[in-house]
Amino acid sequence: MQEFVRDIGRWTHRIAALLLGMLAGTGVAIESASAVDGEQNDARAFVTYGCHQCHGYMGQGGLLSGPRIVPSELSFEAFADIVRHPYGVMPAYAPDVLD
Amino acid sequence: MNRRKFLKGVVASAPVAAATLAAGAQSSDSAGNQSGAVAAPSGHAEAMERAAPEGYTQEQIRRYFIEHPGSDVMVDALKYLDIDYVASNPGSTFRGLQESIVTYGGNYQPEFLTCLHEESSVAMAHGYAKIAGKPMAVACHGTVGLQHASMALYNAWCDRVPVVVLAGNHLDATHRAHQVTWAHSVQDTALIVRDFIKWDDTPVSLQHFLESLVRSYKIATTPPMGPVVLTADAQLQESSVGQHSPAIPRLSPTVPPLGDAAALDEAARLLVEAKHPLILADRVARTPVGVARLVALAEALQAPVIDRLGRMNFPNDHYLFQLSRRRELIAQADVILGLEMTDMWGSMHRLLDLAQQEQQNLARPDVKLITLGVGDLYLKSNYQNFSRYTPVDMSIAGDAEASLPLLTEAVTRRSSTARASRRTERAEALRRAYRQMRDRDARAAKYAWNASPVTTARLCMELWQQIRGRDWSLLSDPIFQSYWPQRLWTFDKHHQYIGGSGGYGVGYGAPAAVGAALANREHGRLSVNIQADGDLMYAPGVLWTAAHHRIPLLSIMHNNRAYHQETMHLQRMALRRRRGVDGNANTGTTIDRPAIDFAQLAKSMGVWSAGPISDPAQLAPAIQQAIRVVDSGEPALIDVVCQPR
Ligand code: HEC
Repeated sequence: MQEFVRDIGRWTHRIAALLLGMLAGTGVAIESASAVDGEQNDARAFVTYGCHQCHGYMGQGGLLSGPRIVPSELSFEAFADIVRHPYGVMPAYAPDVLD
Repeated sequence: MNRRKFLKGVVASAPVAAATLAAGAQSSDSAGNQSGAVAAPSGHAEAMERAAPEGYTQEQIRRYFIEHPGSDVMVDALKYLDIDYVASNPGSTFRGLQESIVTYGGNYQPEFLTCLHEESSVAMAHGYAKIAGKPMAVACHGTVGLQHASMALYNAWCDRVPVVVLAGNHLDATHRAHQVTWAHSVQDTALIVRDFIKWDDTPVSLQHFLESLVRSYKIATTPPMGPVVLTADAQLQESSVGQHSPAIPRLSPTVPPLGDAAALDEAARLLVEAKHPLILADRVARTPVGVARLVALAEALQAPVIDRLGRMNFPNDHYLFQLSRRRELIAQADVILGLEMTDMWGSMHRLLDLAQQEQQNLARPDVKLITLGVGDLYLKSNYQNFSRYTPVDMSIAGDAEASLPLLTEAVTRRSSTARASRRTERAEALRRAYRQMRDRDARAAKYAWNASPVTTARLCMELWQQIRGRDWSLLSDPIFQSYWPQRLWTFDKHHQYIGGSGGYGVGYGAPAAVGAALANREHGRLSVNIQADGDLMYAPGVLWTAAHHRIPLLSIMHNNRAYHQETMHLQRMALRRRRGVDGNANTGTTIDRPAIDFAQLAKSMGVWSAGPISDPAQLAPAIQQAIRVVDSGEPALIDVVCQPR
């Protein structure tokens, strides 16, 4: 179980890193990136953009809200593309809100 | 005859009523009286026996006292109908009835349940009926009470559950003593709820009341069932019955309609010849018999069942229970049988919530659809809970639970040995798919296992660890907990699950669980309720009712400190408009700052409580402790700070 939890931590980190990569250059990103670091920081980005609402704070997913996205086998490109041009009922994050 | 003897007689003939909701009401009544009354209520005789009070003139007696009030007869009728409880906030328009219940009736069958909101009264009755298999009565003001009750009536209506509402009123304007009475009087009591009740009446005599009460009970308990409202005029309750005691007419329960035999045979043919038959079940099992009947049909066909979870329809440890494979099974099916469906269209399609709504057909274009149910037999226009029109190949009107044996028999008759190997192959594939589905669900539950806030999967599994092996009953709708209980626990008894609110009117959860727990009490079952925070705050006073009436119920909170569905809606709106992601979705949707202390709330009303717990490791000991409290006959509540979904 502990290994599993470490794994979750790693994956949350990765998702957040991906997000932060996308965020680079926006005011929000700079603010949140400089405010804290490490996993807290990752979680904050995840929460700031409301991903947790549908995917859970740990990206574990919910049956009728949004699928599990942590851990994920998606490449950065694939991940970013889904956030911009999602399939199904996932809302699109336009560059205006997430650059 | 003295009152006790009379009441015994009444109670002895009462089980007639219970038969309506039981296995399809095949029985007729035991009184054997074809056209007349079963019993002349007769507190009348007793009243005649009573000596006049001493020290009063005749005129004074007339001025001060009433012998044999009408509401005594109303209570006789409630006893005859085998109604065990009357849930109510006390109110002056039915003070006569209340006094008769508690004094004349001995506050036993029916017992007066003290409620703190009429919405709680009705929702308690709603939950109760789904476990007890018979209605509870609710007493309320026909004006201010019925307005409070209306939301819960809508839920019961949408969920097709019987509730008998007795609404007090002062129809005769000359009897309205003052402004309060005027404000508590109405011309047409049921008008406000008429769009979502099955029947109502405003009796103007006691005999009229008795006939309408029995009729309303009969209507409420005939599938499709539903709530009914009967006005109990204050004057009828409070005036003396007089010389001519009215009679309670015999209840003649309606046998639920069966589907047409030829149509069922044709349906059987389509299903037997199908390569991939599929069964969708929503509100099928009214009784435990319904579960066994659905299993028999599914096995005869070797067809998977997608349970829409309107009731406990099908055991989830059976390999034909394939809840988590809904999409792929619908996409694959060539013949689909929908049983007592509330939303057939919604099961076949997806309407995507995007800027430009997009419709996805989930089923094959050549799929053959068959529906069997009572949904088409009784509809109303205004409220649209009947869902989108669905063209189907065969629409068979009939109560599914009652009709299933005919259908299964036809399937068995038509199942040639030539097709046996196809069925065996299908069964093997379904067994494999079932095992994989369960493994997938179990694995999915482990993600973020140690997270804080607690995941809904962990919450459900910790609860399951403590209740498995017991005779338990889950009284909440796990829709917001990702249906983890159905995916991870073992459900094999009808009373283990009762479906949801029906109308999705928030505030149903807590009172329905209390009402259903009351029905479970006499069976010694462990009632459990996964309680949403937003729902509980609609009318938390029902916790007091649970404590006051010693209703054993374990409530474990899925406290996500939000009306979370709405948070997601707001987020979706903001993203569609390309603005405002940074926490705006929390405005007006979260229930935080201050966070509500549910443990304190429960404690203040005499309910044992623990929490808030946000460390999942603390769950097991807290649940164990709470179960000890519940086992001692009391309610308990654990507040758990949880993930949104
Ligand atoms: C309003 C709910 C909602 C929000 C907010 C949301 N998602 Fe999603 N997401 C979904 C749904 C629903 C799906 C699946 C789409 C479907 O099946 O229709 C999805 C799918 C995804 C997927 C694809 C998963 C896979 O493996 O196929 C990724 C990645 C994802 N979301 C990431 C994110 C990120 C990152 C954020 C925040 C920036 C986010 N989502 C915000 C609802 C949401």
